[in-house]
Amino acid sequence: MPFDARHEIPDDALLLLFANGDHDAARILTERLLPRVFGHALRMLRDRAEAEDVAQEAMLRLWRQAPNWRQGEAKVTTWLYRVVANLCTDRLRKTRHVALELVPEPLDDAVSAEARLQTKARVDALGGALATLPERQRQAVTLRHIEGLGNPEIAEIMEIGVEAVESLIARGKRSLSAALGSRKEELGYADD
Amino acid sequence: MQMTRMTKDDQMLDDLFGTARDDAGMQPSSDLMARVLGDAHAVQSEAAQSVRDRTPEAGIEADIWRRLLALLGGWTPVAGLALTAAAGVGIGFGVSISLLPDGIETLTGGNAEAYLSDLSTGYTLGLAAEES
Repeated sequence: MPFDARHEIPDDALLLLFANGDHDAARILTERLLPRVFGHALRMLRDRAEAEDVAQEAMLRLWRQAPNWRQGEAKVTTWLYRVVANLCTDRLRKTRHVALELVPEPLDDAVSAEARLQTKARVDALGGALATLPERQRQAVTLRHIEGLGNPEIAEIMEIGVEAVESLIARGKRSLSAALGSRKEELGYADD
Repeated sequence: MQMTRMTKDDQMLDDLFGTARDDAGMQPSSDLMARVLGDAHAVQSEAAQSVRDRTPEAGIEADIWRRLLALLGGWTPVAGLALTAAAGVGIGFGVSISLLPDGIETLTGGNAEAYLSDLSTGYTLGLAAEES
């Protein structure tokens, strides 16, 4: 199968093929969707093992939903993000605990040690600041500014209005600025 | 002065968000990928077994599928993405598309075309259909 052609098949078409037993469709959907699902869960939960459980459960629910998927209704990613959000909420309410640092992963050897340290410091700083936000603000800010979704799609995922999304994001960013402003120099942002 | 500080804070936040987006540590492990794919195949196997258990209905579904496709133009060659739409219509009516030639290859193969005649050697219609 031509590599470029795969990327032109929309998610819901792949889901149809998946529902009819196509293993290639299963692999493409996994490669395409799992990084987004896992990344979002990890940012919400700040715990790699918990995020893996949530991501695997969310994808399993998608596989089971495939035969009943109705074309032209929700986007597959919207549906998945909503499932992830609900699973994360359940976990957070049970544990009432948010880790402030993630388990470090091996980094690219080509990047200098200093750059790696600075990147890690910045990622940890943002992650720690996000962890202090109320859950809904954290979710809205993460979906908008890290997952790159538009406000209408976020509204659909969070089942609120677009204005409510904008308000959550604005408040979340104000809190982040307040939390990180004093660390500019430490994080390598010169204050000219 | 206050406005300048706010703008610099926004710039810092934007840069931090970008760093977070590119963070390789947020990628799923190969183990997780394998587990998710394993779940996918298990669900597909269960579904295939369920279809085999419903054999009499599968024949009726195939006939409904042939009639639906005939309404879309009979024996006309169909481009790959249009066939996706046709598949969507079929699935929308709860019909199996196991008759599609080569599954995903039909949509992405070299000539990107499939002939509806691949799906049937003959059919009868209860509804009027255009002949091309």
